[in-house]
Amino acid sequence: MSISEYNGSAIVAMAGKDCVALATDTRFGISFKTVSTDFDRVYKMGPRIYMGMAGLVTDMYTVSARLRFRLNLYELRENRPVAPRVFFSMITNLLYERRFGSYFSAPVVAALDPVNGKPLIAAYDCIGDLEVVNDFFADGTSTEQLLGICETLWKPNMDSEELYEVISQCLLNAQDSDALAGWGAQVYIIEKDKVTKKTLKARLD
Amino acid sequence: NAEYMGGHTRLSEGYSILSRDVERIQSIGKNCVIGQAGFHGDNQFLYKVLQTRAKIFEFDHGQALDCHSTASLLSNLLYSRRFFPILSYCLVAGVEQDSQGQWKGRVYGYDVVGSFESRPCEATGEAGTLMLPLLDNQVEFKNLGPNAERVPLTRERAVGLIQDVLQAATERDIMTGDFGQIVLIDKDGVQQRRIPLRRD
Repeated sequence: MSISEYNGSAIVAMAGKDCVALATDTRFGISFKTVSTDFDRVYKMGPRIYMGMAGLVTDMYTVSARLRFRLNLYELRENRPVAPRVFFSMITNLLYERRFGSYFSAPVVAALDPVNGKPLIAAYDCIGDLEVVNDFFADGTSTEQLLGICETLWKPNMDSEELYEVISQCLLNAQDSDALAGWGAQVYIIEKDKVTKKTLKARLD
Repeated sequence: NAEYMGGHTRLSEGYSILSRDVERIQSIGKNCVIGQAGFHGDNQFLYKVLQTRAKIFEFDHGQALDCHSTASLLSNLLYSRRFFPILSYCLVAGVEQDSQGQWKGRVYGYDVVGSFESRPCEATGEAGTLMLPLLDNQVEFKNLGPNAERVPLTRERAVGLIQDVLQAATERDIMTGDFGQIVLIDKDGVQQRRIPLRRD
């Protein structure tokens, strides 16, 4: 079991029409032992910017805390919430600082562009390679399972209702095939005027 | 009363493609096919052995092996090499008559040392994990709410699903692609179809 599979996670972000969704599992485990079943992996970094983190949990805590520090300073200096693309670069910079001794955790960021309301999904590896994708992205121990089912079920320009259904089915079915992820699921649907958080009933094993 | 199996036809070694046209699904008997993923050399060897054993059975008993017997034979063949495994991830699919004379479709999935199980659907190989969640959702109706529509699995839908999962696997797995081989098995025998997949 490699270091990035030590705690287990499943994260997927999907873009719709003027909306974006981020879904994660809620298992926290130490190797094959499940320690918590209501573990929150999603951090709100702006009014329409939500970041989920996959991988080693201790690094998830460290990276998110350091990021929060930099974000707070930015917002104090600039006196405004951070723009998504600026925040994406902030993450890249933080992760690449540790290029030769990396954090074992990678974020998946789902955001709405404040100017035109278009969905933005930022995908990273653990050393900060940023790719902004316009369909979906998956990370964690269930990456392969998620990619397979998302590839089949995703289609462009889904409205928020359909996006919620699709992302939920993708996450639930993918995490069921993965021993290290599951035990519940949380879905955030981010739209221009509201953000909805839903908790799904999942297989508890 | 029918079974469907899909596979791809690319043979790769590292980052190179050795062949775009390798058939991974082959028949054993009239109503049974075996699909093999894993080490191609061992796949070919195993298929030869299995075919020979099926022939011997026919000569000895005067009737062909049926599907569950083939599955059992394969399990024993694989376990006989428990300490130097045949690196072949097999799937056996076929139709057989049950005690009432009804034709039932079956799929058996294996690991490399012969542990097998009959399941409603199965996916194996490098891209197996990409394909299986969708099949769980659409064939076994897992994680669908009580009000969700459970579309019955007709021939068109099954073939469509196999095409969809092969396309999805091709998109996201570098070793999958070129052509998809889809095999339909019912009581009248085995039919084959080929679909084009991305060649990159």
